[in-house]
Amino acid sequence: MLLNDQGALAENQNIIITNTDSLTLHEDQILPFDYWLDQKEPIKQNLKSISIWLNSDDDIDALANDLSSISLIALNFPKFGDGRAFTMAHLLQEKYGFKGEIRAIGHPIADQAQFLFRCGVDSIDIPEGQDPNIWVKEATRMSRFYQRSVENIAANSKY
Amino acid sequence: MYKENFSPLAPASAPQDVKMYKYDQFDDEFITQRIEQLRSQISRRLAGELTEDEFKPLRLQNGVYLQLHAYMLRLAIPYGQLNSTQMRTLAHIARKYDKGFGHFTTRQNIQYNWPALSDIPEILEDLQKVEMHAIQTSGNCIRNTTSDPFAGVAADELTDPRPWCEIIRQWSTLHPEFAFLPRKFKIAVNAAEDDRAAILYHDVALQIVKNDAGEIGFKVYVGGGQGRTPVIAKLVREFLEPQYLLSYLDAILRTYNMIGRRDNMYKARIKITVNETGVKEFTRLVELEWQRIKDTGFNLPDDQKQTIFEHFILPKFESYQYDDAKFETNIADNNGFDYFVKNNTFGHKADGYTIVSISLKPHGGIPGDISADQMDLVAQLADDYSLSEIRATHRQNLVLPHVKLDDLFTLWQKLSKANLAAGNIGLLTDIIACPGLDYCALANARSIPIAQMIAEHFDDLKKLNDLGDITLNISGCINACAHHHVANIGILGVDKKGEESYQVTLGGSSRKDADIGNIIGRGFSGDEIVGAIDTITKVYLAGRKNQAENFLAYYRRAGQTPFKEALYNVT
Repeated sequence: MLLNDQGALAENQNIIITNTDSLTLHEDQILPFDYWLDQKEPIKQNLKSISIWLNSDDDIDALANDLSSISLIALNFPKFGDGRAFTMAHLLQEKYGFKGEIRAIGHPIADQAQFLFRCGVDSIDIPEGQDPNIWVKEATRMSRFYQRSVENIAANSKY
Repeated sequence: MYKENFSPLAPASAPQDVKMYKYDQFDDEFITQRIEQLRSQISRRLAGELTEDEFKPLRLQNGVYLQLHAYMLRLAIPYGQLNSTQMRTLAHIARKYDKGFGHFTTRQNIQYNWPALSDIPEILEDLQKVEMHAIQTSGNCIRNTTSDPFAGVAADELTDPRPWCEIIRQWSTLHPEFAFLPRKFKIAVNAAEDDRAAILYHDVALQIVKNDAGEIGFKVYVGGGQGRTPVIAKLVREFLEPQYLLSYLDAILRTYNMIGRRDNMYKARIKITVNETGVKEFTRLVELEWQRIKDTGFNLPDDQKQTIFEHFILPKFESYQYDDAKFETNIADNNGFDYFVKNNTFGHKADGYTIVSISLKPHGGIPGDISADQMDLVAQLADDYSLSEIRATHRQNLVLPHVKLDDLFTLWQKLSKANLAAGNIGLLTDIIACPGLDYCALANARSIPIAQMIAEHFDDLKKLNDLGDITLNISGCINACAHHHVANIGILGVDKKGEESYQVTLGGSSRKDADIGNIIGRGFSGDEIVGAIDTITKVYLAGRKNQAENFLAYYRRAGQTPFKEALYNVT
């Protein structure tokens, strides 16, 4: 189940690929970052819409020159306490002006939903077994913020 | 044993309007939503929908710890400033939800050791009514910003640091990008000549300075910290124009969030990041990011800055002719008042006023502990004698920042009746101690009883004053919550094959001349430690040139040898 930054739920149409042995490419796959680095050209030739996922220790700067050909970047939370994805999302949006979709995957928790959206994440892949209603609620928990947000620099913020 | 019976004070003045940051509708609604969120998190935890593992960072970011015997709640006192109404609420919380006590911490905060988890939302609602909260008093996020407890009125200050602290408080509150950092993150601001906030032991230290053109700005240090690896913060920027404060902090935090270690929690603080990366490279990364973002809209707009500054206009001080002769007579006639004046007062910007420190280290007391009745009394004394204002210090004491010299004697008499008049500020018995094995889940050894034993031993105020300016801190484990590394005399309790052992360090300082203490030799048992401290003071007294050479100066001149000889009979 996906949660978007408007707090709405949608079915997840994507498959996160972890094993790339004898992989046949499809548009609905989210490909590992290393595989993308390795197979850029064939992937570009085979897919109209390219989705890749990054681990929290992957270098997003290495994507800088290819961002226009990527439509979805998923940022993995190996565990919820690893907060690098917040900065990665911020940089993708604010530094690189990435126009595609930014998604959080792995093990974020509901209470991080609003922080993620405020850092530029567009959708969250709700981890298996969790109640989506809690996520919907937490996505709009706070209606006011002290800081400016990368999404919309002064919207709902105090300054 | 500290619960005192006070006679009611008459005539009582009503609380006055204190010049401090006041919530607007935005702030109030923000807190309401945050409490609602925690209430939902607590009920999800109690219903088993959140594991303790998942609940932990959420409760921590709201100041809720799970301790040895119970949950502990730590409240934020932003940069240590309180009004009397807030202090009365702290007393109410101590009575209603705790066992009648509160504990002031080295972070200028207060914590309660016995609240029930289910009561916490209600406590936070009580706090909200007086514009207080517990947000980000723990967890791997940006913590309460600390500062000089005399800020705004200290005679040795360049400018008032509090508006800058408030700007940082607001910016850091629920900052979406920096709520899950590798480790906790502490920022301190100082604008005084002396450093009463130990800023060089913070993750970011901001010293307000004037440049050659006479403009105010920040000297920025990064990577200080205590804990297992004490490190003095390193200079990364000589002068930061104040309008860039938030974008510069963004750049530091973003760099740290990306390259700080997450593989080992003991290597995760920014002090390790700076040491492993090298200060030059770390500075380069920060500057690179800052140059990119400095003009992109993440600084505080000028009009908003102005709005925050307006909260901190100093109160109107009365111009009057104080009675110098009477003051001198009171000093001469009253045993104890002389030391109180000498040690517990500090120069105020306004003529005829003084800054008074209230020691929370009475004879045999628990450092930083205060009863609900004492809190109420301090609130009343603040109303009567300090324009309703109170401060909390990083040395776990309280301050009445605006006391008329003419009122000082009466104030001292009233404090004396409540066991709050110890004239030992800055002396050996002004001990910082952590909760230790009596409360803390991490501790290996007792701290409070050791502090009490030392205080009992050094009870003679005359001898204490002769020892002079000296700091002694006691931590009950290597996490160093009581900052033992940076005390002139530091005591660290460790567990040695099932026995408590106390290791002594000498020569630390948390002030401008920041230094980390060195271990003097093998540790001492709980029975030996007071004797060892006694020996150390005797070595100093016998060896100093004169009284003007304080303990730290003597240690820096004489080194460890005379102490080693006396403690371990080595020659």
